[in-house]
Amino acid sequence: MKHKKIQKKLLRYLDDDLPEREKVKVQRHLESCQTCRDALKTLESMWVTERSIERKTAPPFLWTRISAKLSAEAEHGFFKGFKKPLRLALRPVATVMVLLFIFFIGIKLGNLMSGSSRDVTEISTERITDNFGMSYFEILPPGSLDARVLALTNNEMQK
Amino acid sequence: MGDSELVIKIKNGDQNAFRQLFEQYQHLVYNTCYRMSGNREEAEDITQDVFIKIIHAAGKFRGDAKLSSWIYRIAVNTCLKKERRKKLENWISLEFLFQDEGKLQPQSPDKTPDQQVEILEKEQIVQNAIRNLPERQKTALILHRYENLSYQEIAAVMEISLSAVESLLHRAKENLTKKLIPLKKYL
Repeated sequence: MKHKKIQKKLLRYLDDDLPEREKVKVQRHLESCQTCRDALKTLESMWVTERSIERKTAPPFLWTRISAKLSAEAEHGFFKGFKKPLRLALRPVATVMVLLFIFFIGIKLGNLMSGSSRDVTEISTERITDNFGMSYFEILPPGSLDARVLALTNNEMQK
Repeated sequence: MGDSELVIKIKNGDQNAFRQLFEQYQHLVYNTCYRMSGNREEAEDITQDVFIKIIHAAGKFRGDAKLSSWIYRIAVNTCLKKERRKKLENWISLEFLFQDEGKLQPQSPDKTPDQQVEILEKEQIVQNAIRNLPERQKTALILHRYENLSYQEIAAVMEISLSAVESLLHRAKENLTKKLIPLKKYL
């Protein structure tokens, strides 16, 4: 077995966590390999020493802190049941309202820039008719220059 | 008082029952939080949060698993959540560039100063190596090594299969070996 393969198993070997067959293979390799024996010694000095260190214990004032926090929560208990669900419900509503607000601001700005307070639909229709030269097909005010020109043109065409 | 009975009393607002649960499990929770975070102050904060969560979540304890497994699960999840948030905050504030690992205090007053330093160094080396493992490997190893939980108990806490626990522990130890052997020169 190569060094890397053996060394990967050394912690498990120290913890006696290897299947019997693998344990025997590691032992045989260690008998003939100083490098892996040194590696084992290094690991043992760290791994075993560290485990022997005392278990940590909680500080004595912890209960006081927890009680204080629970008392503070109990004071605001009326709101406690509402806070989180209310926050969760309000989030999408707030997002939609912000988006709608931005949309309407955008429309208002567009109206202001075009210099007119007319309805958007009316403005769009006017622009379309102008762009496609369809204004000639609109009914012209009687007596207007355009109406007289149109009348003359029609007369010529009918001839 | 049985576990389920204790939890029902807590759910009904019995302060004495909660105190009893606290006295029974405070060191277990603190030790786990300390091993996961590596920091005493954080361990205290997280332990506090864990017990607050226990009291709020008492209604969710179904009684089909051991109370200790449920408490371990809350402790582990709270630690992991805090760690993820801390990493994100550190990344945003670029604090990770200036982070100091922090020194632990010697725990063996009966040893000479040199021995204490040596023990402290080894403790730090091993604990730093464990804390840098992937989350699930770290969790399984801490529960096994420091809390002496069996593979079945770890499986119950982490809600995974027995074979998954074995696999996590094996990989954790392999990864640790790779980290620890090169550190021989620092001892």
